[in-house]
Amino acid sequence: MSSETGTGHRQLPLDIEEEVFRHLLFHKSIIEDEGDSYSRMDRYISVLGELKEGVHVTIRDSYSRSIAMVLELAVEEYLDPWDVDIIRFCRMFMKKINGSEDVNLMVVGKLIRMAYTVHLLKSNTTLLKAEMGEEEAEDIGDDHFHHWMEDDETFRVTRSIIREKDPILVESILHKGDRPVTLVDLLEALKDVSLEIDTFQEARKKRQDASRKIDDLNRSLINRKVYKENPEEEIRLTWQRINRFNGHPIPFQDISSGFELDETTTFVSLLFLAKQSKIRIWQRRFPYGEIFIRNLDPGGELRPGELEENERRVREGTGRIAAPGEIVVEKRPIPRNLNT
Amino acid sequence: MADGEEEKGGTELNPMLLVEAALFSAARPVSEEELSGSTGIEKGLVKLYVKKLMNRYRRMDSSLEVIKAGRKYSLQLRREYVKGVSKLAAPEVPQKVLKTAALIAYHQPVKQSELVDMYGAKVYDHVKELHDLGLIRTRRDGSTKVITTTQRFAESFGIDGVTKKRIRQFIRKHALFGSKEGATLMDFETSDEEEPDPPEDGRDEEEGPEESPEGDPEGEDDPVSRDDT
Repeated sequence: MSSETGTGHRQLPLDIEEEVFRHLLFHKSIIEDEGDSYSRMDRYISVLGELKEGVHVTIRDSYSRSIAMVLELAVEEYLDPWDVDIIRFCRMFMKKINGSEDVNLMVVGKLIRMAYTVHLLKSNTTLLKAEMGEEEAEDIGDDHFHHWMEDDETFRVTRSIIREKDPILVESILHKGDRPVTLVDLLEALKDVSLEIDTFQEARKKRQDASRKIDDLNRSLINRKVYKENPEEEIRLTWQRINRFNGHPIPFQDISSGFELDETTTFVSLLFLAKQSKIRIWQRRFPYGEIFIRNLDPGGELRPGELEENERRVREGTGRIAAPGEIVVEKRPIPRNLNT
Repeated sequence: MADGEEEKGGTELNPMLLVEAALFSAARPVSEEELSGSTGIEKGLVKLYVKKLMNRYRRMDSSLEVIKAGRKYSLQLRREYVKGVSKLAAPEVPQKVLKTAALIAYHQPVKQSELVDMYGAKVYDHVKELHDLGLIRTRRDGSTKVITTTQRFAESFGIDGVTKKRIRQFIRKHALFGSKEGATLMDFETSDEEEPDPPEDGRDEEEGPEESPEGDPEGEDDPVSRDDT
């Protein structure tokens, strides 16, 4: 195996193609196993002579073509990349370029690309050996007999597998199971789709029914929860509550249940009762003081139509609520800071 | 559909031809179970009809053959006609890896380092490619790998049997006696029952792609031998 750094520089001969062959000869000569090197060299030279296609064919300059041929041999795996001294070739080519006025950059580019590929092949080999590990690397390249060489038949089979032009293994070729769609397939598909549509529509109808039922249920729940205005009934209930107490003033909180809605309806009912002169309402301290109610007609009954009469009188402005049903509010002066 | 199944119109289908139709329609080797499932013919009868088809194709002048590939069956092109239609049928396995595949098949279980010694550094790429195709499995052994073939290997290359012995025999015959003579020799020897491979020590470090679910585990004795009588 050659070394790029170990090759000395020599004078450039006139016959470059010969120099290329001599280059090969030189590198073969430094391989330890002479018999192997000579046979390999012969093979390289014969392949070099027979190379009829490739990049080198398009290169007219004999010098560049020769270099391209060698690089091509390495790229095409006819030649061990490590047998190509790229540095030496580069020096030779640089000298040629320096002495020439007409440089074909296309050719130079191709040669650089091939030199790069050869260099890459060299790196790959190095990388592989590094990855293989010491034990494996030692195995490869050893010239001793391996177990597959010991048995004559195994050796013959192995050699046959490697050397036979046609591979031993032939991949099976089976009929591909595709076929065009037939009318029967289409009809079957239509039948399937029809069934799917029925199922879908049935499911949609069920969903709509269920949705309608839920809506009805929700509506009925809302109706039950929503407050329905019935002032007469509320006044009657409030009057009943008031009558449970004796004649002492009753705090408003004792009449209402404490819920916001009930407080409102109770207060409105109290106002009506006050209009009917059934009760008297007052507040101890304005505006947040406790509201008190006094029953002016304990055990009395609500007269039908009285409420409407009071409302009519207030609406017409013909009178005001007579005492003792008059609402009395204990007024307190509003703090100045609130006025501003 | 049992033996003697009737079509809607009342025409009786030939069950053997039904099995042939199933083999033709499937784009891959199919097991007895699959054939039975798709045709409705009892498994035992499927086996019988496949054997009849094998003999029938062997006798008739056809470019097709029914063979046992691994533990399955396939209706495929005879290997001598494959080259002639290679432009129409693109291979799944690249041509460049076939020699490495044959070396693995013959020498298995084989160390990757031994393969490199036999065939060069290109083996590394080939092993990776064959592994990706699910044709081989590898097991780490020190600094190298030990390589064996998978059940899919036998199916892909139409090898009658999945044991190492059977595959080795196949390669040996074709390497020493050529394709035609090798195939004939294989035909004469196919009446041998396959012996299961002995279990290997250690577990596969890198398994190949999942094998077909209906396949038996590799190495087990195949209850069905190819009857070429």
